[in-house]
Amino acid sequence: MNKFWLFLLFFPLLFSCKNDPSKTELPYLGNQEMVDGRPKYHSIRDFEYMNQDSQIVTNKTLADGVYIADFFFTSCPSICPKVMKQMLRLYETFESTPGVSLVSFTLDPVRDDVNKLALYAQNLEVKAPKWHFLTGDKDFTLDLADDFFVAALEDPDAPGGFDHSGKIILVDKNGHVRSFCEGTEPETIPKFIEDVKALLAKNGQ
Amino acid sequence: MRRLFSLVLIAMFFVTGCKQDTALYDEVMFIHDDVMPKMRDIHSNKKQLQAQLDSIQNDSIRTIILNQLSQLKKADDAMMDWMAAFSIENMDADQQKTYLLSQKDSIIMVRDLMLGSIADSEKLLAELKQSKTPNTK
Repeated sequence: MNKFWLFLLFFPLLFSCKNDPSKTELPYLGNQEMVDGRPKYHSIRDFEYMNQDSQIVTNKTLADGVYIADFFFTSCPSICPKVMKQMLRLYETFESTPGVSLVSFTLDPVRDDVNKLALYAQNLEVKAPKWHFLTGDKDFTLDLADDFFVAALEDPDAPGGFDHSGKIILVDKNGHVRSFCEGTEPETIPKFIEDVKALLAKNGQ
Repeated sequence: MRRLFSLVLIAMFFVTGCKQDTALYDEVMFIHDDVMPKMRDIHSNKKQLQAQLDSIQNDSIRTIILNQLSQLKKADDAMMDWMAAFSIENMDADQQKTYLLSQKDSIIMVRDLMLGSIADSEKLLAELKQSKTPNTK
């Protein structure tokens, strides 16, 4: 009987520890090197894009908080709609949470101009600055995608590219990749949501 | 919730639209999904060729590289154009079948254009690399 009460006493404690986001330290993904005795983590290069409201969005615009990124294009017939459904789920989860934004980079800037992206956002009933749909130079965007995905791949030399656009990436305030999930696998999203909360609990760093 | 409903409605258009020809639709999409990751190879080879172009003075070699760059762009555009045009909305079952059969031919052509331009550009890159290797004899 004593054991039973002991169990009851400790069980909630264990449970609360497990789910306390402030206790979770997310790893820094991607290569890191030591510079002057301190670790230098892989980070996203500087970028500048136009969003669906014709506003310029840069790394600095997003540095006020953490952001969730994916790569897509509006005419993508197979993977993108599945990923977009999960991005919408994340938008709804964090819609009222300060310090979190979503960023979707188009890989088809020829068709996905500002007007097209504005219409796309309007159809989804989502708005900037919570969710930016960004258009810019295609070649630069493909290189930028590497910054996001290299950190999320176990084998950076693995073939692929557009297939990696199914990944959804979490970036901290300092531009470091901290977590990712598969947008085509809805069951990976709850863990990702917990990671976003854990990063927020650490002030986004 | 309304947003999700909108997304589901859009998806339903898509799903109900292809209900009659799911197998054919899947076949077309399989060909597309299979070759789509190769778009990265096109980008990578374009970058490498562009770098070569910047360091080569010989006009005839530059022309060959420019032609190859043009082929890669054509293949990239062909895939993007195909995806943008592909739609089975507002079609009855017969129209869908006819359309999907023609789209199967189209995506096979796009695939062959992509794979051909990637193979040709890789061959050219290897030749350019070979020509720059110092003769050790």
